[in-house]
Amino acid sequence: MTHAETVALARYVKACCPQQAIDEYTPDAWHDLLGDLTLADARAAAGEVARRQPFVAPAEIRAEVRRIRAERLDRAILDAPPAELTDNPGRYKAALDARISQIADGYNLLPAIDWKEPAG
Amino acid sequence: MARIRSVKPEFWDDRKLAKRASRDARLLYIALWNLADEWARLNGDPQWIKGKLFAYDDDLDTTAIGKLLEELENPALGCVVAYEVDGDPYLFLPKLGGHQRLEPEKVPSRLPEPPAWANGPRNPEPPPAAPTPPNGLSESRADSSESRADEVAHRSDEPESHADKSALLYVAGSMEHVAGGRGARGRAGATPASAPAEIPDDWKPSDALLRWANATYPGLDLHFEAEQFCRHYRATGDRRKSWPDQWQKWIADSHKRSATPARASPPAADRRQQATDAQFDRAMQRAIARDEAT
Repeated sequence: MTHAETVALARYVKACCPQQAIDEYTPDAWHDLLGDLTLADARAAAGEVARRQPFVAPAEIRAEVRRIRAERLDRAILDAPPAELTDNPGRYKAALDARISQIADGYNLLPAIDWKEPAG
Repeated sequence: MARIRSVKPEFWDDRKLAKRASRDARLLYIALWNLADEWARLNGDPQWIKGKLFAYDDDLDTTAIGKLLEELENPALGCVVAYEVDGDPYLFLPKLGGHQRLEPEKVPSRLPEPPAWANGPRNPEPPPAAPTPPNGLSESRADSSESRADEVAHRSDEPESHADKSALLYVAGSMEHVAGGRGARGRAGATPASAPAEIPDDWKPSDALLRWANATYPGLDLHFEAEQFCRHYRATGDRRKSWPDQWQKWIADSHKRSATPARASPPAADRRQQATDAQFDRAMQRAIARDEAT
C-alpha cells in the first residue's frame, strides 16, 4: 500500500466512522502500521470492522485482514507446484508461496468451465 | 372563577382605608379580589356576591352587601367602581393591580369593560408627578398613600381615561392602593408614567420620530419598520417605559442590520466537512510527494 493509498484508506475509514478522530497526520502513522497490506484487503477489512463497531483501529484492520486471507486459503484448493520443480526445492517453495499469496490476495479465479482453443 | 390572591402586610397599614371603610367593608374588599378576573372586573350583583362570599353569614343580607359596596365606592378611596352594562351590574377594582400581579394579556375578560372608559381616549395622559420630598425618602408611607389615593379618586371622576388593555395596565399597575405598594418599593419620586407598559394598540411613531429616523438613518422603509415594530411588541407583550425611545432603538438596530452585509456562513456541518476535506487534501499531497520520492 502506497502513502497515497493509505490516505485513501484513512479517508474511507473517516467516511465509515464519522466520529473517529482522524487528522492529516493519521495516514502517516497508518502507513507505518498497515503499509505492508494491500489497499483492497485493508479496505475490505476496515469495512468489515466498521460494520461491527463505530471506531476502527489499525490493529483491528490487520486482524481482519489476517482473518480474511486465512478464510480465502481455507476455501481454496492449493494446487501443487509443477512437477518439474520438485528437484529444485528453492523454486518449488517460491512457487508454492506465490500460489498461497495469490489465493490469499483473492486471485484464485478458477474457470467455470474447461475452455479449449477451438480447432482450426 | 375565583382566583387565589394574596394580601400584602401593608394593606393593614392603610390608615385612609381603615378610617373610611368599616371592618366588614375591608373584608369584603379583600374578598372581592378573589372574585375579580385578571382585568379587575367582577359581577356586581350584591346577591351574587353575598352567595359567593358570605353564604354562611345570616346577619348579612344583600342590602348590607350593597351598603358595604357603597363604602368601597367612596371616590376618596377609589377601591371599587360600579357600572352597569345592559342592566347588569358590574364592579371594577382599579387598584387591584397594586395588590396582585395581573396578567390581563393572557386571559381575556368575559365581563364588559367599564363603559365610561371605553369612550375615552385610548392612551391616558399620565397623572402629574407626585412631589418629591426633599430627602426623597422621608415622606411617610401613609402620606404617600393618601396622595395617590386622592389621585385615584380624582381620576375616577374623569370619564376620559383608560380605554384599552394598556390603559387598564396603567391604572392597575401603577396606582397603588396602599403605602408600600409597587411604587413605594421603587425609587422615591418616581412617577407612574415611568412604569413599563405594553405598547398601546394605536401606537405609531409621531411625525417627529419619523423625521428623526429619516434624517438620522436614511434609506429605511419607515412604514415597514413601524408596522414591524408594532407587530413585534404586540405579539411579545413586552413592556417599555418609553415607546418613542424604544422606537429609536429599533430604527438604529434596523439600520445596523441593513448596513452589515449578511455573511454567507455555511452551516456547522458544512464547515466541519470542509475542514476534513482540507486535511485529507494536505495529507494526500504529502503522500504523493513521498510516493514519488520513493
